[in-house]
Amino acid sequence: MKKRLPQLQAQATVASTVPDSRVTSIAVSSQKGGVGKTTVSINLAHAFASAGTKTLLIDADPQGSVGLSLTRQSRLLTGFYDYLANPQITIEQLIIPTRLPTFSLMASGQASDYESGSGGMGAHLARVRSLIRSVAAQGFDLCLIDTAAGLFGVSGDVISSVDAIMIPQQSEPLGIRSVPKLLEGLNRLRVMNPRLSVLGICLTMVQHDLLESTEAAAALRQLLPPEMMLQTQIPRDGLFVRASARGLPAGALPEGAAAQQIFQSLRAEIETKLNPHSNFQPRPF
Amino acid sequence: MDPIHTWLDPAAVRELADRLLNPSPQTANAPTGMGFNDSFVGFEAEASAAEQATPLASATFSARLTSFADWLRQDFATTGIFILDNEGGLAMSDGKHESLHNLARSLAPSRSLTPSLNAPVHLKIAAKMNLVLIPTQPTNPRFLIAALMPELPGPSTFQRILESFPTP
Repeated sequence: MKKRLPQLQAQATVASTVPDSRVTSIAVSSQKGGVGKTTVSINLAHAFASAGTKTLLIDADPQGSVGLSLTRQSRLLTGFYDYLANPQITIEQLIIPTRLPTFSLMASGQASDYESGSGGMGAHLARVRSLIRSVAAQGFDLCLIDTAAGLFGVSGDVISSVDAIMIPQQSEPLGIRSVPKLLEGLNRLRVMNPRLSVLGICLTMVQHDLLESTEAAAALRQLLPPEMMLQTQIPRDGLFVRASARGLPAGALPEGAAAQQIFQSLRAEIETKLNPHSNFQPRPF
Repeated sequence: MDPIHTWLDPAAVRELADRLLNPSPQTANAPTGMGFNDSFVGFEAEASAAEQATPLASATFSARLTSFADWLRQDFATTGIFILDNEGGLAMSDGKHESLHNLARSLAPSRSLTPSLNAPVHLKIAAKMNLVLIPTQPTNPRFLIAALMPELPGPSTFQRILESFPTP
């Protein structure tokens, strides 16, 4: 079953010359590394695809973490960075189907040591936008892009091109102190992408048995406007490590029902943000 | 110990968050003049009408900026130049590369844009072309020199450019 993401779709078709080929693009990005971007990206993409949304997960992290998690041959695959570097490469060469018909992947690529530092920002904007247009033309409903840490370089170009951004944030004091820098960076990038919609910060690696973790989560929720915080939280759980070791989303493991529910809750919450007229109530975690 | 509030300014953070949640004023105003809307296809050099110079640039200072730009063109093969004042206004422009003005403005608050680092921030915008951003010394007013250069200036060139910038 094909499922559309309503609101951004409706907005964008006004400007699009091919209304039926509209895709909703979401960057999963953070200022800080190691916050769980790849885990969130893989499992959220799987949740959308399981719910019938034709989903492409792009690995835009030069470390190739999505590819390394889900495909054993990822280092041999042509991917996102090759597309940026070589105009001869077409998107058809890059899309990797999975066992779930609505779920496809694009690896990071062999040009994984591609220069993506602060000096390169803006250099790939046109190519990234071309890629998203090509994804739309392939009939995808959702394009989820797992970026490298930081809001500069190619990651900055991705954020400057997508419809929306969601920000995983590790639930611990040191990570949360980086939030001002994150917000400053996003405000700057909005100059380049005024239509960027901020879906919110998603707390990750939450440890209910650790006071510092729960206090940090509570303090961040108190600090920021409620609309800036996604209500679904991702717990720290060995299940995600086991899933990565087996090359599967956590929800696809036999013991992954709880993880699947959490990411379905996150998916529903994001759909509500994209379509504020639905009646989604987040499930308590 | 409070894990957050003792480390940051809650009011400033809240303001940043609120700004992000509100629709960008550029969206409401149909950003046809921006260099980064949907029609943006790359950093091709483009000739367009020059923006009006800000009042900050007096006639004499404007003449000195023009001489400075000529010197950059002759000595460093600069193919384009514009100069922003500390409020993002255009102090001088050769009338080209209008789409890069907003990019330079967006990078102006960057902490890495400081003369003490002895190296300019640069963006590669074509095969053999860089947008080089050089902040002048932190005097009042401060300016941001934006030059299109085929080669990146080394530390000594960087210093020469800084020292040659005219005083307002």
